[in-house]
Amino acid sequence: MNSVLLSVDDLRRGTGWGQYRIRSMLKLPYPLPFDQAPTGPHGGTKARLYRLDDVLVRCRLKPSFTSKQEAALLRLAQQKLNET
Amino acid sequence: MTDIQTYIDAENDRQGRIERVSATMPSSQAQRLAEIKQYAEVALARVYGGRIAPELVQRMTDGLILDASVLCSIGGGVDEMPQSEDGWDAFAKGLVASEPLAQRCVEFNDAKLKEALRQDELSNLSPQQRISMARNDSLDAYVEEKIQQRLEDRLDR
Repeated sequence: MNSVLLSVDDLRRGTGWGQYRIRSMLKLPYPLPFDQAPTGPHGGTKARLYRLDDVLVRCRLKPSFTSKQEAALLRLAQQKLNET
Repeated sequence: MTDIQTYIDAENDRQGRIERVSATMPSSQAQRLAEIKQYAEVALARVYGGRIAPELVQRMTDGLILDASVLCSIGGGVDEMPQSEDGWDAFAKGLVASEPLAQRCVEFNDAKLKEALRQDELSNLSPQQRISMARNDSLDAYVEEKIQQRLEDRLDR
């Protein structure tokens, strides 16, 4: 089973939404489960990685989420899938 | 006890995800997903025949909705689903490889078939032959060879 994990940054690029809208979408009505990316050589915050299917459901529940945004998000996920 | 509970939780989580994604899926994507499920079912039947229980086939095709490559193909505009029969066969093998229950089902059915073939081959030998081969310690090797031959004949058909 192929799975893709997306960070908040990926979601921003995919949907074109700002980080606050994305963060509230991921946290409400309850926080989505996430994995954490490994830290880089210089440390820093671990990026939160969300499952594609979880994120898609949350996005589709937003009235402003269009089919174009969905296609763009899925294309981005496909690129990540092909990279791995 | 913990293992069973973990398994139940994981299963509930999976079912919940499937229901949530299918409830929010647009009808055009649902239609495409139904086609993919149908292709996958046919490929599973072609590759494994009756060696996988129908319930497991249902489970695997239901789980396709969570597969990232399927989601991307039905909604992302770039169709990366297999286009040929061989491609779908490889897809079916991948599905079974990712589902431990299906793997066990195939292995069990293979073992059952091998045992039936073994009994059949043994009954084809006369008691004298069987005893003399068992004394020479060549009975097992002979039967194994015959089983392999019959399995290959089945595949060629």
